[in-house]
Amino acid sequence: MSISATTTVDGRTPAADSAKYAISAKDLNIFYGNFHAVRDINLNIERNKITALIGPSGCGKSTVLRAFNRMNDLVPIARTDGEVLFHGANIYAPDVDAVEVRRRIGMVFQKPNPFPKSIYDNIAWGAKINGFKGNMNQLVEGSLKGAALWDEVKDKLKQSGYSLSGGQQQRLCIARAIAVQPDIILMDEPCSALDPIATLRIEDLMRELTEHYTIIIVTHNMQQAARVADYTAFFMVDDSRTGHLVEYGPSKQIFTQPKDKRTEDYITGRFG
Amino acid sequence: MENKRAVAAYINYYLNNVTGSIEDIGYFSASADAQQESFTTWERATGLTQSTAENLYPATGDIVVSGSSTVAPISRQMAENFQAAGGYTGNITVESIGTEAGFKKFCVDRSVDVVDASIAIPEVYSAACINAAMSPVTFQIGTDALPLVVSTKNTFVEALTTEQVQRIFTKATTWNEVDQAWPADKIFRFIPGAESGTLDFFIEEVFGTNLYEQPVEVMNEILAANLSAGRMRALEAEKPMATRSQEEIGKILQTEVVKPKVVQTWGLFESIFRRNEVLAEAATLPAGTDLVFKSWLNWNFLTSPQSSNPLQAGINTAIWGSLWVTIIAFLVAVPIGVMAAIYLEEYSDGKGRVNRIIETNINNLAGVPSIIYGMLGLAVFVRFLGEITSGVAFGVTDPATANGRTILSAGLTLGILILPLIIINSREALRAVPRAIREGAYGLGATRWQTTWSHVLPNALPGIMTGIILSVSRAFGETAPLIVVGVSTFIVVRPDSMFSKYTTLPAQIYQWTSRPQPEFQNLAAAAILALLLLLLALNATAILVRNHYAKRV
Repeated sequence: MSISATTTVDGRTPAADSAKYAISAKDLNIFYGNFHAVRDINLNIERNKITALIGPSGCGKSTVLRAFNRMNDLVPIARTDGEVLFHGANIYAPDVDAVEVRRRIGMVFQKPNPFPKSIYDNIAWGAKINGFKGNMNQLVEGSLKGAALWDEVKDKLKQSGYSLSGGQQQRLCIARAIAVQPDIILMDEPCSALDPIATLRIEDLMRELTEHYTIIIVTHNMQQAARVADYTAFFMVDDSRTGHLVEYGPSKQIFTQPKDKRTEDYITGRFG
Repeated sequence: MENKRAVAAYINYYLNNVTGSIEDIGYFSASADAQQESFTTWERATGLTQSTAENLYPATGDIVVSGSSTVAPISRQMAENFQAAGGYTGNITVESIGTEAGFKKFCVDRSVDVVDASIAIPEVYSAACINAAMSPVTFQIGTDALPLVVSTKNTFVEALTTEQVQRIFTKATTWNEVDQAWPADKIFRFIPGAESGTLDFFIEEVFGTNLYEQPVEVMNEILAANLSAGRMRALEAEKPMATRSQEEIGKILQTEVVKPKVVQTWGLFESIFRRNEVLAEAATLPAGTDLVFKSWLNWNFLTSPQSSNPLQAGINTAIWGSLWVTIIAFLVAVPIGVMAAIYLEEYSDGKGRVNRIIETNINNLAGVPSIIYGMLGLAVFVRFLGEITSGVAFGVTDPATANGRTILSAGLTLGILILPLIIINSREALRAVPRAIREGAYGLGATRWQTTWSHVLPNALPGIMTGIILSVSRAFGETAPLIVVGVSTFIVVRPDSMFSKYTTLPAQIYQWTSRPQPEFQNLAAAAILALLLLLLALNATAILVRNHYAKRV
């Protein structure tokens, strides 16, 4: 992998940044066919922090999130320009294997999507395909504990993942993601299908996970971003419906003293 | 009878006077109860009593009596006495033509007034009578015993076992063949004529009711007496007679000796709802005809090979041929079809020119008439690849299949035929797998193949299997392409390898329906039922398997 030598938003050299940031987007442009979905994204994600991507519907925040682990590759008409630097290397470089990228950068989806298998197999499968050779029972237990699900399911590991409630299913998906031991976990509106109590449990869990993982979360819920995120990035669409980054900074600053008028309008509920 | 005073008078005279004469002729009187019952029956039928019977006289008009040769002598005697007694003027004719023939004249031809019977009225004739709005009444006039008589000049026969009687009337020609202690003198047999009810009774008593239920030895003797020595040797060489079961020998007896023929058939509807009409029609058929309620679809039909005799013909070879061909088609089409569907759905991006051509072609191929596939199969598998499909390349040297018209050719042709169906159905099933499941797997760092194998395929399996079931059923029922690639119309040997000649159920049905004889059309109908049942069974099994898999996930 090669290290790119472009400059970052605040002018520092990327060689120094690569150690500091978990992942960085450089001049990221994404197209769906002829449609320019997002343009010129430059974003540095801090290590072991929670970064929230917020913005109105269709602003491209999910697209950007999915660009971080090359999930957009699965959409045949999608095309990505620019760079995403992970450990200083561009994950879109020709010699990089998207499968390896996704192993290092896990993902939790909007709707809980456990596999139609047992709870145990839901956790074990990801580890198995990644060549895990250790004690599988320990790994399953550890992952479920890590996702704060162990006490609820330890007696029914052979039951189908579908037998769990929505919130439990989502925590199962998180457990499944951390069983592969990634560096970063991407979460695409992980609580949108859950009730408030289940949502709070996931949020608590996210905070615990920052001890070992960097988390990037897309959310529609500004209170949630304000509650859990250390950093917040605000996205907007322009007149041609192309998404772009408006403002990025510590959540406290974004939600109390936004620099941009559009950010202020959005967080005060004037639109969106 | 109520219409014919003379007949009523004759019967009345008969009943009143028969006891006086019957023992002179050599029979026994009926029991007192039976006599009383006869009088009661007569009174009910005529509406008269014994005291008012005088009103019948003077009687006139001819009376025709016909039937059993056993009863005729008494009837003649009674007719004579009746005429002599006075009060009746006219002629009484007494024919001796056999009981069944008598009933036929009575119920069908309606040319006689009274039947002399030595057996109860057979069902065909009672039905024919009912059909003709006649209600015959029965009077028992006496009873008899059937003795076996040995000439007074025969000094050695004291007693006979049933088995010895059987031997005397079947195989033995000299007495010492029956018992070694007896002299080697020729046996002279005297038996009633073939139309006699007495003979029927004798055969029933001595040999049992059903020919095919006879002891194996008896049937073997009948076979030996009726078949040429050469044919017997051939049968012996096929399988020693001593090791054959009663059922097997009975079957040979039926096919080689009895050789039943179908004279006329009636459908199920007629058999059930127009029973009397069928029986009446059957009564008009030549003597020696049996009316049998027979299902064409029976165990024998399923286990016998094809035959030119409709009573022997079965679909065993066709069932095996169909299974062989279908299994080969399955083995060819399913792996290729499912893999092609996976490639097109999961790997190909649908952008490339080649991929587009493939997709268009598959969709078009699914609509091509099956006979075209037959032409393709003929050109490619039978002609071009004949060396392989005939098995010559693998050392099979059967001149009958050297032209490549084998199960393998047929299986490959049908495999190609159902390939597009399997691909299209499998693609639908793969497409129906939720995107979320694929993303979940990819999100964990799974490769395309890992995702497909572990998640997409198991989820699409029920749908894929539905497609396979439909396609295989299609292959099972396909006829046209097989006729082009050389299905045999008449084979009696069960196929035993993929290089065998073969016939299939649909081809068999097609062949039978094109025969002019109605029996073969009945066979075709039975084969169609068998085909449907077999398809139902195969599909039901496949669906059970599919549901089992569907539940596991």
